[in-house]
Amino acid sequence: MQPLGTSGVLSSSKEKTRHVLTGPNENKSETSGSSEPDDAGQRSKEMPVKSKEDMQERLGLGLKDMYSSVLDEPLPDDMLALLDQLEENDTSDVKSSRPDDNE
Amino acid sequence: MSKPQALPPAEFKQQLTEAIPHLRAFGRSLSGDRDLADDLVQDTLLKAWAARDRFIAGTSMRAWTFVILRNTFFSGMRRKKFSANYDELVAERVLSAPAPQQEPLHLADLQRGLMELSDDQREAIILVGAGGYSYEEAAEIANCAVGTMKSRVSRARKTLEAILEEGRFTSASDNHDDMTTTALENIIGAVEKIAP
Repeated sequence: MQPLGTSGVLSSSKEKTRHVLTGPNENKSETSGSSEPDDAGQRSKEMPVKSKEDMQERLGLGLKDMYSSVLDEPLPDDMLALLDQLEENDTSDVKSSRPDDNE
Repeated sequence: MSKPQALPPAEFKQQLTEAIPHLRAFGRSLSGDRDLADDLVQDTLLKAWAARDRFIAGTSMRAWTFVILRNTFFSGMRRKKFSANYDELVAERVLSAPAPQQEPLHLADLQRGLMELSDDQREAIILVGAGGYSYEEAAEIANCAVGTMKSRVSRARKTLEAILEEGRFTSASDNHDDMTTTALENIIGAVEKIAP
């Protein structure tokens, strides 16, 4: 479960990432590359206590879910309007830059 | 130095628009507050526009604006209306559980846990753990060394896990020893001692 950054959230230029919200059962348990002994599977079935890895996984998914659910929200109109306004100002009066609200 | 190539306004605007959802996600995770985050994004858009000559075409608009947003956030406007007023609708939402038999993580718990981290660690775990940025990209955004970023993420993860484990225990109905009760009892006890 290590490389949290592999899902191409950044590198792809797609606006939307897959949302984790749907399909909670779709557990990509990556038993492949890890150095886990192969009794790991049956061990976790027997153990009633929630393992550390369990918490790590829940945390990892929770974080991604929290973040990507915001990505899926529609863009707020006021932000789009702001950009329109800025662009409009820009093209109409290129010269009269207003230094009053600079920081 | 040759003048870096600036983007034409229309293209700059286009790229900035595409960055908005990411800015909102970053800002909301960082601040724990939807409205504050959107104010922060507005601010970021304004600053980015004002500084657009300094944006170099071909570089990452997202990373560039993330720097503006986090600098804005860390340099002051936070702490203002920043007292854990989580959006209740959002707080009710249950995050997906990794497997059916597991208890799902509550967004409110996660956000509360995030707010208990230091600013540095919160930013680190959000960028890498939630946003999916590489350590290198995150380090660049946070303006720190890659090794520093790695250790921030790992410490943040440990702390968060501990907080969330605790949270689960204290929310168990048969556990009377949770922190709120204890704190309240302490106060009541102290008051009783003072009162004649």
